[in-house]
Amino acid sequence: MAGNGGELKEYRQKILTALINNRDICELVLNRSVPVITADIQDELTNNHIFKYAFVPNVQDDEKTFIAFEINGRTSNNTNLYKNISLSFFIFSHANVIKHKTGHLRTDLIDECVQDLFNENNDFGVGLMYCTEDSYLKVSNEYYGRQLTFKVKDMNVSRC
Amino acid sequence: MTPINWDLYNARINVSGSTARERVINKVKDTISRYGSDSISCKDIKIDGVSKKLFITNTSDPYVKNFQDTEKIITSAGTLIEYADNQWLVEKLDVDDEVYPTGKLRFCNHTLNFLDSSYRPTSRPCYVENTSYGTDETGISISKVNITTGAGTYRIILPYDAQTALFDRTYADTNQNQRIMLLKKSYEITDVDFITQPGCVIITAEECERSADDNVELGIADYNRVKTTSALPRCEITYSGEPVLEYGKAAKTFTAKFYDLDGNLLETTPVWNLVMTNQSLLEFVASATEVNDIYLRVTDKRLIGEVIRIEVENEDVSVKNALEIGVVAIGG
Repeated sequence: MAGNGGELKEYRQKILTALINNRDICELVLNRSVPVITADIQDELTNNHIFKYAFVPNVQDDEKTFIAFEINGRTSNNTNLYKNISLSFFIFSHANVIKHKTGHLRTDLIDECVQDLFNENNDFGVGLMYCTEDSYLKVSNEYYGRQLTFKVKDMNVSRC
Repeated sequence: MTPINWDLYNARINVSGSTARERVINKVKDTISRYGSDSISCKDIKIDGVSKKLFITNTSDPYVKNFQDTEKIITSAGTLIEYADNQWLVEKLDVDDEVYPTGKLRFCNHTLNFLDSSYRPTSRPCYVENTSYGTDETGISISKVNITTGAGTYRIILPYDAQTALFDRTYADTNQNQRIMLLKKSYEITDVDFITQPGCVIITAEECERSADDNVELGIADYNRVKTTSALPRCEITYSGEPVLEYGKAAKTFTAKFYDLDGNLLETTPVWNLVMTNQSLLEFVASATEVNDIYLRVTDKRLIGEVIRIEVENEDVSVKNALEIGVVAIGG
């Protein structure tokens, strides 16, 4: 729980930490085996594959898989005591690497991992966080993926 | 009748001194200690970084001050004092300190860079004056006609210590003339005087040609005269990426590497020490060591924005190094 906008940096910290500490996500994004998650692996992921803002790749970028997320808030409810926070995840891969060795789409597998991490998660705001939207995403002619939206309530004001 | 206790009586009447002279001296000292701090001459100074009080009075020359050391904090001439955001050299110290020592401070208008006995760069604040024209002790021209004594002749007054005591006209090993640099110009030492002003070293130097061994950037003459200068034992701290710890990430590895005089890697066990301005915050830094590595991980967001200083040394503390690392939010 935060308030007065302090939840933004808290949520970004928690989400990015959760993503780069999940071995399945690390392997799916990097497209290789990751026996142990080291600081070097996390450095490779952060700001190269996983972004804590709504990142859009340039056409010149390598053929990679990306996860980006953004936070929307400040939608007050009737009592003004709480506000509704929504978290949007943008999971997309270059068409050349989107197919996983299992035959599934890489972005679908990451979508599943992200939902495992955050659906019904109680680390954010007040109560549980729920996935409210899971839709397709077309970033450009070569990048496709999934967009996930989670919603949770948080305090509208500081706790003290 | 109770007999008079003469011992107690004597002790009472002699409490400020056994003679009138002693009593006068002690009364002056007592008055100074009681009311001295109210004087506008009572200044805040620092000696070796420690704050002290010293009575400083002006003279006709703004670069020279007189001082009265009522607390006897100055033990010898040549002491460097930090006063009014500048370094001052105790040029003279009166040996008569019956009431309090007095002396003269000289403004240090320059910092002389040179190599110490281990050929490492060092420096000393000093007073430099141009003596190309004849002057008397007070800096007034002796003659109305300027007498040129050389092209750029300078007199440098330095504090006497183990390193400045090594200044001489020639180097002991090669018998070459010793040289110094002042503002990118090279000067040959023509005289070194340890006698005239006890506690100080007075160097006289004349301008000379710059040598290929001079390091103009560091302002050190004959910097490359001894080729072993750059081959001192040293320690490096290596790491990947930036010198930062991101809260939320796995432990980051910092490696200490020790090298000998010839640049060979040594098998030395490092001794690590972590320092923070607020040492209590160190409980939020998880650390583990293995051979030459230290692994550091931040465990609490309260450390974001703080700086952790990693100090490392070998077991006999002859080689050490330090690195300051910032703590930032993940992805920062």
